[in-house]
This record gives sequence, C-alpha cells and structure tokens, in this order.
Amino acid sequence: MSDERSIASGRRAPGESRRASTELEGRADVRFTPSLRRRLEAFAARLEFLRRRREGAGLATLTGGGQEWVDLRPYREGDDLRDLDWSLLARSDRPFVRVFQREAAERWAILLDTSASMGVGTEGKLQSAAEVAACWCAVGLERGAEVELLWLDEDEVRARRFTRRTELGAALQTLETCRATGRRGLSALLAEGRLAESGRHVVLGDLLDVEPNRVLGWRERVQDLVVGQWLARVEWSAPADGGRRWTDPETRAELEAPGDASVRARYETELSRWLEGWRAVCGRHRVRYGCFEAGRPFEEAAKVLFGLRG
Amino acid sequence: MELVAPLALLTLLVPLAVLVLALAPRRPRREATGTLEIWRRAVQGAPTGGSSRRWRPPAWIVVAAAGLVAWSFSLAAPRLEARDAETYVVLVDRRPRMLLELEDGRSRLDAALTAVVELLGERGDARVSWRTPGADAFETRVSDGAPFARLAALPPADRAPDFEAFDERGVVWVTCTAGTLAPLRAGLVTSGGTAVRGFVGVGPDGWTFWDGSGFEVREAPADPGVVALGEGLPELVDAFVRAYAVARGLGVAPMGARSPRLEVTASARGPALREGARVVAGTRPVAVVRGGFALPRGAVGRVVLEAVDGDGTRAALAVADSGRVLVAPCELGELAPEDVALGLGGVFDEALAPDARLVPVAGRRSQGEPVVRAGEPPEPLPSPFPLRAPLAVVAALAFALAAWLRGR
Repeated sequence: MSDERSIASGRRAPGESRRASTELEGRADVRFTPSLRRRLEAFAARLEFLRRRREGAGLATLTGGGQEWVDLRPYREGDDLRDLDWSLLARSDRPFVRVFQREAAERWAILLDTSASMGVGTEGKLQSAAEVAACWCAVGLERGAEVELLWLDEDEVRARRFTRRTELGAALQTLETCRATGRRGLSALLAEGRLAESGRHVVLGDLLDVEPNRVLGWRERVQDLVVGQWLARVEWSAPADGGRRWTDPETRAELEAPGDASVRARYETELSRWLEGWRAVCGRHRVRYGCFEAGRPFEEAAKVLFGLRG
Repeated sequence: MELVAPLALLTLLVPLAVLVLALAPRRPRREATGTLEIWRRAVQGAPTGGSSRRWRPPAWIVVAAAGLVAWSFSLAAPRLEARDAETYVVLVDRRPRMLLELEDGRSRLDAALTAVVELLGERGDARVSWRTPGADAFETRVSDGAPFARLAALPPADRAPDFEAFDERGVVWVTCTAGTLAPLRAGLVTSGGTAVRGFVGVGPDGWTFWDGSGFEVREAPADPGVVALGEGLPELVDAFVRAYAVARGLGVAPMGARSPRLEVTASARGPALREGARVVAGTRPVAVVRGGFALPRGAVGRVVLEAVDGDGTRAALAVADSGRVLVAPCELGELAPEDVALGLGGVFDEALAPDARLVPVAGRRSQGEPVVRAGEPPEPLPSPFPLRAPLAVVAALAFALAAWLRGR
C-alpha cells in the first residue's frame, strides 16, 4: 500500500521554477526505459545474492540491526561486534554473529533532490540520482522494508510510501514524475520531522544547497546514512572554450567568469576542496558517501553506495 | 587581370561575415551551473569583463577566412593577359581629295573614319594605331572614337599611304575609293562620294576649274595658306621660315592653326652636338654648330639639315616630311644667308603641303559607293593565364591548415 502526501509548502508562482530550469540547456526530467528497468532488477537480484553470501562491508547494514533473529554464521572482518554471539564464543571458542531479518516495520527514507540545479547539464543529474533511488527502492522492498520516497514538487515536499515488493513499478512511476525545478532542495527535505521514523536515510542530490552538518545531524539517530552526490560534466571541469556567464538556475544569480586558465584552475581547486570536505566529514561519521558524474551508468554509483567491493 | 565571372565575388561576403563575427566583441555564453558559489570564489581577483576584452579570433579562423577569400576569387575565374586588347593599324589617306565634302556635309575623311571605328568596334575595345603620311603615329582606343580633330589639324598629305606595303592582318586601309586597291589580308574602308567640282590645277594665267564636264581657267583665289611655327626654334630657322613665308605669299601662324601648309616645330632633345661642327643643307654648308642638341634618333622624315663633325660623324638637325619640318634645339653661327636660302628654300618647297583646294580631276570625280571590308584580325592574343586552379589550390591549403590549427 502506498500513499502520497504534501507535507510542506514553500510555493513559488506556478511555472516559474520550471521555466528556470528549461531556459538554459539541461535535462530536468526522469525516464526509466525498459532496458534500465531490467538493469535495476538485475542489480537488485545480484545484491540479494551477495547479501545471502554475505559479501560486502555495506551489506552488513542491510541485514544487521534488525529485530528478528534468523540464523548464526561465522564472524567475518567488518561485522558489527554488537552482533557477536558472546555466549557461543565462550562455549565454542569460535566467533559467530547473529543474522537478523529486519522487521516489516523498518523504514527507509530516500531523499531525492529535485531542485532546479539538478537539471544542470544535458546528462541529467536528476536522472542519475533517480536511477540510484530506484535501486534503493528495489532493494528495500525486496528486503521487506517500508520505503518512503521524499522529493519536492514546485518547492512543496512530497512523500510516498511503498511497503510491498509489488509496488516497485509504482515507485518507478513516482520517480518519473520528478522534475528538476524549484529553489528548495535537500535542506527542505532534511528538515522533515518524519525522517525520525526511518532507520535508514539515503540522501541523493548535488548537495549544493546543504551543509554537511545538516545531513550528518541525523547520523546519531539512524542506523545507516548514505549520501550520494552528482555533478554535471560542466560542473566537474571548467570549460576551456572561453568565458561563460554562469547562471544559478535556482536563484537566477549570474556571474561572468573569464576563460583564463588561471581562473579555471582556481575553480577546479575550489571544487576539489569542497568535495574533499564532504568526503572527509562523511568518513569521520562512517557515512557511505560517493560523488559521481551525471550520465554514468547507475551501477557505478550503486556499487559505491551499497558498499560493494569491486 | 580580368574576371570571367565577376559576380562570383559576391561570395566574398562569406569570409567578410566570418571575420566580422569573429572580430566582434564576444559575449560570454550563458550557461547554467549549480556551482555558482564556487565560481564566485574562483573569479575573485580576476579582472572583470576580461573575457570579452582579451578575446582574439583564433588563428584557424583567420586562415580559414583567407582560404574563403581565395576560394571566392577562384570562383570569379580571374586570368592574366599579356596585353589587354588587340591592336589594329589604320592607314589613313589624307590627301586633299579626302577633305572634299559628301552630300551630307561631312568630309570624305570623316565618313571613312566613322566607318572604320564602327568596323573595329565590332571586335571590342581594341587599340588602334593611326598612321598617316606627314605625322607621327599615335594610338587610341576604339571607345575613344575617331580622331577627327587631330587628323584634320594636320597639313594635307601630298601622297597616299603606302598601302601595298602594309597588306597584313590587323591592318585597315582608309581612303576614298577602292580603285585598284585589292588587299589580300588587310581591311579596306572607303568613303565613296559623289563628284565635287573645283580647282584641279595651277596654270600660268590662273587656276584650272573643273565643273564636272569641262575645264576653265579662273583667277587664283586669295589666301594661299599659312606656315605654323612652333616654340623654341633656332633663331636661324625661325628667321628663315618667316622670310620664306613672305616670299611664297603664305601667312605665319602659331601652332594649332587648322590645315596649315607647313608646320615647323622644335624637336625634343637628342644627342648633344659638338661645337664647331659644320651644318650642311643637302650638300651645301650653311653654318657651324654653337651648341645644343641634335634630333632624337628615329625622327621620321627626310634629313634636310645635318651637322658634320671633322671625323665625318653626322647628326640630323632637321627633317622634312609632307607638310612639316622638325628642327633640333640647337644654336647655329657664322651664317651664310645665301647658302641658307638656297639650301633650305628648296627643302621647304618640297615639304610644303598641297593646297587643299587643289584636287586632281581623278579625286574630284565620283568615288563610288562606300566600301567596308574587314580584313583578317590581328594576331591572336596570348592565351590568358587562368588563375582559377592556383587559387583553388591556395584555398584548399588554407582550409587544411585551418583544420590542422584547430585540431592542434
């Protein structure tokens, strides 16, 4: 069963924000082609297979921390020591950890940034983030979790909850309704109090309108926090074919930047410093984090964010 | 150089537009980014607006534009020529009979000149070299029209051109009647004309008048004509010409008088004369050289006065032709007046142009219908050297270079 609710409101004039993202070259919509759906299902199946084989450090969080004990298995490096069966260790002198099945009531919150900046670039930042969001939906529903998808529509926070495995198609349809418009982004989603009901937060966006501590503020209140960041190609590296008049699609602010090599180098230095800041702070808080170029196959990002090796 | 397809030069607008667009101040492209704040930090310290001021068109655009210019000229198919037009030679009969009037009031000469210009005009704006006895050749263009005034100002010629000697391609004979003229390669233009009554000869008792059927003797008309004197003549010659004119009943007029009987003009400077050389008129010594210059080499006419050095070197001081005497700018001394009168008088009498009013009966009779016969054209001009292919090669090389520069 799923429901969709409008939670908050920060409305702008209808059409204004949509215009903001379509005036300049870019891609603001989401489309799941049949082949992409097949790849999603294949990826989810592979992930389930790996989970059963218990590979990948990140998979521990997909099965651990639940409430329903289902099995024991030998301890492996990377396992949470809290799951160690100390009594069995004392009896057999061999380390075993408990394997739990998550309760049906476990909730995952997937926060998808749909601000206008996600429409920058022809490769589709929003498309790339939505593909990974779909991946998390598929895995969550497969695992029996209650998946709640949060996004913004015309600066209004929307949420839709999916509880059954058969609702994956509906989740994908919901993601396809997302458009990169509006001025509000992840900061608006992270302000939602309903996030406290979820044990896992998956934050997907360009992180341009949010500070790290705003994201990491939830770290101590959830079992798992995953942060995925996408930048357009034009944001990754400064174009070398002359100056630009850069426009922020959310604030409409403009800045004329010369095409000098020195300015381009300073931009890339500043960008690297900013990204490294995210990486460092996420590492300190044991948050899985990855920054990706929009337009790349979703499997590359998903592997990082699901903690798969190789 | 001429262009076969000059309209193709309109394609020059293409490289012009390319250069204008390339050189125009460029506004930076507008593009969206989410990292505006990072750009703001990067731009801090950089000169504002520098992107448009410092921009220069890349070398490949300049090279490509040069290639487009070469391509445009190639389309216009330019070609080089050794000469810019064919040259005709027109031999003009200027005997007094050519000055007789036709029924429409024009002279036979004017009618023939009009016809020859029309004939040559059919072959484009050719060059025309006009040649007539008693005058230097001169050149005009067909588009300039016939040189009526220039030819009419000359003294009438005492003889017809030597037509038969110039029966060549590119030559046109101009006279009043074909008569026995039968050019093989040259063209022929005749004025034709009806019979014109008038004086045909000079007798002891008066002038002989032909009235179309018979002759009668009439009183000689007054106004026997003038001698035209140019500037800068040696004093000896100037004084003699004036005395000669009085003796012959001729008037003296400055140069430019219409149809003078004789033109006496000073020549340009030729080789310097050696002082003390003897001045000889025919075989008779008449003076010595005090200084000055001989006639330039190539002066046309019969030498009537020359300087003879002690070693026998001769330098022409005066030449005579039909109706004109050309005199070198020299100073003469130790004159022998009788010898001068005898030496030069006969020469001047020979050079004296015929009186335009005296035309032989053959010239006064009907000359028949006009004849306009184009002869063979002049030697063909050298084939124009086409520049289309070389320019196309230049354009191709420029495009290749531009592509290489762009890809580098």
